[in-house]
Amino acid sequence: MAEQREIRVNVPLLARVEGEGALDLAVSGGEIRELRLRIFEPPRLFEKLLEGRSYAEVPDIVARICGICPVAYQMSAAQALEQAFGVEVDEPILAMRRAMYCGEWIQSHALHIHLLAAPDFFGYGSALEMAKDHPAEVRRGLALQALGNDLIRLFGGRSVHPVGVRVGGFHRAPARDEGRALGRRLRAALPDAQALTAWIASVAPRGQEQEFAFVALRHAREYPMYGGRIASDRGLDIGTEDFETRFEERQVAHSTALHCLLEGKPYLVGPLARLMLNRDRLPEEVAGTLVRTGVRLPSRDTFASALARAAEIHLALLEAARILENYEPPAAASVPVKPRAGTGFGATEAPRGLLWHRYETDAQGKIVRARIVPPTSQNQARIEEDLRLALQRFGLERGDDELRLMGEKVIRSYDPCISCATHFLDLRVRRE
Amino acid sequence: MTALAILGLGSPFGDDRAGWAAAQACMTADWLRASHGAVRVECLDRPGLDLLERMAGAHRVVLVDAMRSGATPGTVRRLGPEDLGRTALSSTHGFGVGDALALGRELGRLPAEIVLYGIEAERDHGEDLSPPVAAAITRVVWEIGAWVAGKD
Repeated sequence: MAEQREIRVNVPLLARVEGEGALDLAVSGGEIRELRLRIFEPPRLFEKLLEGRSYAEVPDIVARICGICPVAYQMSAAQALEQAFGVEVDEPILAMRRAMYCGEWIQSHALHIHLLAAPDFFGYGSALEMAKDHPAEVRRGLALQALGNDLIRLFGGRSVHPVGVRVGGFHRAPARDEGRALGRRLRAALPDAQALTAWIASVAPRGQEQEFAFVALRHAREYPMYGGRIASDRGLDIGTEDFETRFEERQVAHSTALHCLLEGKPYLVGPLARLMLNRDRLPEEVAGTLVRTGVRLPSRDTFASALARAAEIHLALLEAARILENYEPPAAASVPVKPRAGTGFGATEAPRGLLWHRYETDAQGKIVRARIVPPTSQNQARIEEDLRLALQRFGLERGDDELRLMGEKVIRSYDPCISCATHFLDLRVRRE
Repeated sequence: MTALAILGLGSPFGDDRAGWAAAQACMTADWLRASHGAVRVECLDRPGLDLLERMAGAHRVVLVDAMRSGATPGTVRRLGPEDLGRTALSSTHGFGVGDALALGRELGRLPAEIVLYGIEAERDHGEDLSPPVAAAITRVVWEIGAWVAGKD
């Protein structure tokens, strides 16, 4: 390496210890004997960190868990604490939260599609290489991502680790003209989202249909984002407070992330699960665009997740445009909050899937206990299962590099919130 | 179109605040006040790709960031976009300045003139800057002023 290559500016100091990952594979007699995806996940530490803190600090602290999906953490936390205190936020505040959440879906999905997933579809080593050959698509993707960031900034003050959300609502509501102007820009971007969906349908590879359960929120009227009951395609239909009765988090020795199982089995959360469980909640325009791609749905091929992400970008643009085009600032940006001792549950759909929070508070509103179940730990057992099937089918006799690349592609299709999801994968193969 | 944008990059952790501290110090510098508002100064918290968006509309851009190059803490280095070793386009979490600039160049979205001041960090924790980094802030502001004035 040349000397100048050693210079690393803006190298993550403490801030970006999001995760490290490794895949251990033991193969003998042409069979996988052992497969372990080792990842590090920070929410576990945050649960402890929250104990003894005031409820008012929680939205800002949990926003730090993830640099890509801070809004999801804030929303699940605010919802849970409002439930614990018996606070009901009103319709205008709910609409603002939904619009802000749309921003996170747009930016997170656009980032994943263009920087992480699409280079895989063409066989590029990075988004940079892809940008040389497909600049128009990358530019379109970045423009969509920027719109998502603008939405988060409108409500959160800034797009990274936004600070606008509080228990009871928001610290301030955007000005009328600001909201409406963004609403018009979102509307104007709809053709881009349609084109993106068509593009993904034409370039995304097909993987393998596998057998597993989808889990996502299901709402009476809406495509799920901010609320609903927890449902599966196998008949599960429970309130958010019953999550712990059906889902079991298991400690596994090889990972600091817990494995979460539904009735003892892996399951999938995230865009594909959401879409498969809620196709009847899609706005007509989005459903129509999906039908025109000719892709057969339902699908249990996780590579179809990219298509689900594109469809959700379209949906989120539509929803946020609808909310903001006729936006009127509410009389108050938040409702009064009076803390009390209690327990509350929050469940929302983070870009990567169901994000479940539970908080116990004391009479002053201090956190006694917190539990956070992020989507990545819910998907981890499913990712391992998928890797096992996909690598076995791919051919274990192949070289380590080929196996590693295939493994990375499978893992990336889940968009796990860990840096190991990408090119850091440290593959160790033991062959006997 | 803003003539000049000064963007302090960082996070709230220890010396990773150096870029913010420098940008804030620029806000009160005499040379900046003399520019009659043609300068946009912002502190950005790990902007990742959003950096391209924040640079858009400015003809000249100064980035200030903490760095780790093995130099003595507090060392100030001026780098052009070509000097930044890309951290490999690996994770959207760790999408660094170098990655964003490389992608911006590929897409033809970089400002006409761009320069990056790196301040060597010592520690990555705590709420204050370490003494050598704190001492470097005045120096880097002076250097930025000189670059802006075209004397350097």
